[in-house]
Amino acid sequence: MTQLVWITLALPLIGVVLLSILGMKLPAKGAGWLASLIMLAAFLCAAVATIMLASRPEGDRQVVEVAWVWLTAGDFSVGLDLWFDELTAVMLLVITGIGFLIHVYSIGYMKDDPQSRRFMAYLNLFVFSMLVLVVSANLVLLLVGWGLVGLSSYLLIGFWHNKPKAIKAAKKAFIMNAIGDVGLALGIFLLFVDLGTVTYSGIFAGASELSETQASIACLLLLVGAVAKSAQLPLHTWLPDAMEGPTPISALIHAATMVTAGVYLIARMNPLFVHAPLVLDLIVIIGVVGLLMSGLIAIVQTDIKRIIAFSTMSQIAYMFVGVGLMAYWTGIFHLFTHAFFKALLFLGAGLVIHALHGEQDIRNMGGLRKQLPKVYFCMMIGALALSGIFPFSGGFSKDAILASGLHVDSPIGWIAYIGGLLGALLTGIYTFRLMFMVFHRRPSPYAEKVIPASVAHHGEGPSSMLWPVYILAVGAAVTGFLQIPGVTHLAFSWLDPIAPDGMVEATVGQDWLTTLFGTLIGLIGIAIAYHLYARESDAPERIRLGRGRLFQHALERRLYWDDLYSWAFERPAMWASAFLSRDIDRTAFRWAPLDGLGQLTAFFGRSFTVIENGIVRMYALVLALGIGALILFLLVRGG
Amino acid sequence: MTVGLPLFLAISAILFSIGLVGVLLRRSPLTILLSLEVMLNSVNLTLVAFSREVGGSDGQIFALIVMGIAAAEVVVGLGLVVAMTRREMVLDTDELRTLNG
Amino acid sequence: MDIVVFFIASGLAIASAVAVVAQKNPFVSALALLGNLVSLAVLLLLLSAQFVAAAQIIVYAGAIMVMFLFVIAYVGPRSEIGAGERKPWQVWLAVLASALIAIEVIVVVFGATFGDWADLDGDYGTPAAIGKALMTDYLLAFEVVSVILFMAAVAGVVFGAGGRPRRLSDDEVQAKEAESAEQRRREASRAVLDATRDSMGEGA
Repeated sequence: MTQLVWITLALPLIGVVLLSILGMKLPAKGAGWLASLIMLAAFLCAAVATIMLASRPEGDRQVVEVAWVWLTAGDFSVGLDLWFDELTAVMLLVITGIGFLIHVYSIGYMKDDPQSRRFMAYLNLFVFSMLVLVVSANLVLLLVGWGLVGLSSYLLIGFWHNKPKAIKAAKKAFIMNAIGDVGLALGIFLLFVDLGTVTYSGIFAGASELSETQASIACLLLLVGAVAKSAQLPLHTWLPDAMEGPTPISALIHAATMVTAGVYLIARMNPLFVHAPLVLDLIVIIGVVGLLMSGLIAIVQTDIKRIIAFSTMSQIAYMFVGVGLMAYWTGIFHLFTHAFFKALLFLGAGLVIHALHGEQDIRNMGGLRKQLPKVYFCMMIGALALSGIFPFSGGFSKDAILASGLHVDSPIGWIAYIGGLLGALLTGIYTFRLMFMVFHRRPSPYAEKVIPASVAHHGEGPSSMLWPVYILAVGAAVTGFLQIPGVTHLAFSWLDPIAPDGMVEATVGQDWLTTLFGTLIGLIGIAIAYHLYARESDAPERIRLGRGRLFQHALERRLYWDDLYSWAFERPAMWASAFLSRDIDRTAFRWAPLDGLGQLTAFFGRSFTVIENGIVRMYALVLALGIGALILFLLVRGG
Repeated sequence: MTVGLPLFLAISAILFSIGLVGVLLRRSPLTILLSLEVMLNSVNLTLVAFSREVGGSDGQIFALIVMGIAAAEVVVGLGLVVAMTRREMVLDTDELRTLNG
Repeated sequence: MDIVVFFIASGLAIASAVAVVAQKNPFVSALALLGNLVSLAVLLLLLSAQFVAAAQIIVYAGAIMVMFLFVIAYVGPRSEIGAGERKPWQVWLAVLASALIAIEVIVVVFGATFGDWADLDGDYGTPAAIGKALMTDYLLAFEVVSVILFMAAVAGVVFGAGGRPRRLSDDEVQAKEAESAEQRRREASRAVLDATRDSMGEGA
């Protein structure tokens, strides 16, 4: 079983190496299929390993294996450890499964790009990094995966490196993630100081000996890492910009896998977080504020991918709420279903963008329902799942989170519940604003001009792009049935063992009540969206949201977060360097006495050029004199 | 056997410095190579002398290996001389100073 | 007896070494080096290193020196370089450095105490003993040396054969072509001239 996990881990790495070595010798399509087949093999390995894990008796599903120890310094040692349990299995399946579909999709999406081989190599690298992150059994190896994921995300966002905006976005993502990496690394240091170990088992065993302050500080630092990677407040600003990358990347990295790493981290470290209740509450609050804020911002965005990006942020905020309420399984369950419907929405958006020759502004779309019926149908499933309408997957997982809030029955629980329901309203509005703007309405002039030719040319898209969307649509429709309150119970019972201190699970009644509310509120949101956007026949310059001008502007500026960071960090840094360069360097260090330093250096430099005359004999002479002097010294010293 | 080890070492040192003077003062690459041979041989003498004093064969093996390396060095050096000649360059090491600072 | 041989051999070695360094003609230098090698071989024999002494003569005198002489003959008189404009301080510094090293080593050597010569086995320094050591304890070093020699041989061939004889420069080529074109033109006009002269002659 563990061998299979090792193979799963190794396959994408082999893919990277193969693609890098073979490079241009492979035909572009061949490279794509090679990468995809590797992913399929990895997925099959992961699936078989999961089945083997499931066939073990419950309570014996935690496998730790140390391949070798690669770093030892005193008490500190880090091994290449593998940790395979229920949570790892879920993550493996999501990463390799969704990863495979997106690899296949990328073949079609990138087929006109001359550098698609590089893209495929990066994709494999990303999958490898993500796998390292989730299979590691110690925090240092997790940090390695964490950093690698950041790197491959940087490479992929900036894939179109002649596009300045993409480069800027890549840098932004990398820097924001680096802040998180620092937090995570500090947390690991602190845990090592407190507990003397970095392995999960050691930390979990020693967590109860920590004082609450110690545990809280460590958890807070880990949370910094989680927040940055998962694009939560206040380190979220990189995610919308990251949409400059190719769409499959947005689907894989910025929806299904990488951004969920923060949720994974918290769920994984839950035996530690249990000892820091304040941090757990903080997670819930970050989640609630984040989901409301990003929901609001999503309503005014005009770029199709950015809308979905903000919705991703909001959905991950839901997951944060779930894990913050100690209902870890709901967070992971939502992660699982979200991976399907969000990847579906991104890939569908990719098809739309493809059909419109790269146009991403939803004001230039409209009426695509008739020309792209299959895409419309699939995306509608994704949109319903996202809005949490009853029989679709998102509804079950999101309502499970909210029901946990109801079940906890504390102020925090109620904040989560009310906030989550309000968020459901926003979700309905922004999701169906997107759907109505893109697929209903009268077509915009641009869409009218471009679409018929494009559809006549290659239909709704190449089959390598359509099939992944179909499969994801099925997944988005049915994965929720893993946990129908009172009927099936798979999600909870599978994930239950990962939390030795127990998890929150709502009663069946609470679940159904929440589902009722959630669906109703979602439908209300859809109705509002219909009222506001579906009937509007002309492409409006601004998409109205009530009458508040200031509010509208604030939302369009994404609540000024970017401006805040610009004022707080960028401008002072620019000002300080300008000051240093102009006032300090140019004036102070050009003074006559100080300039002597430079003159002196130049003088010495000129003096030594006499010896550096290029005549080898002279060099040998200096060498011989040196040897003579050295022996003389030893003789005189009496050595 | 009345000749002591120090005498051999002294002879070796004298030969070494004579070779060194040649390397330092001559400008023809051929003569420099010949002087280098003198230096290498003097060191061989030292190695064999010490080997004799200890009574093992290690030093002699070392001397043989030095001979092999010296042969390699001569081949490369002479190859360079031939190449310079064919390109009608001046055979003067002081003229080869492209690397001057 | 030994001591007489020793002093004769070492005197010859020093004298020939000086000749190697001092001779202006590299040909003479090479021959002096030959003498140096032979006298060194005698010293080696005094140290009971029979095989090394033999190798010294066969390998050095037989192979390497022959190569030297070939190259010197190939290079010809251009290999002779006089003292040139050598600055006196260079000479003094070079002699000083060398003398310093020699004197220091001699001081150390005569100041130190060494043990007596070791008692020798019967086969000390024989080809059999050396060959055994080379093939057992020092096999790796032996093989590495052979690889280095091989590489050096390849490098020597590349250096020696790689540089092509100098080509004509572009200007020279153009000049030559222009010359031959001129010649052809002249020949052609002369042919025409001859032909007309012939026909005129016939007509007359």
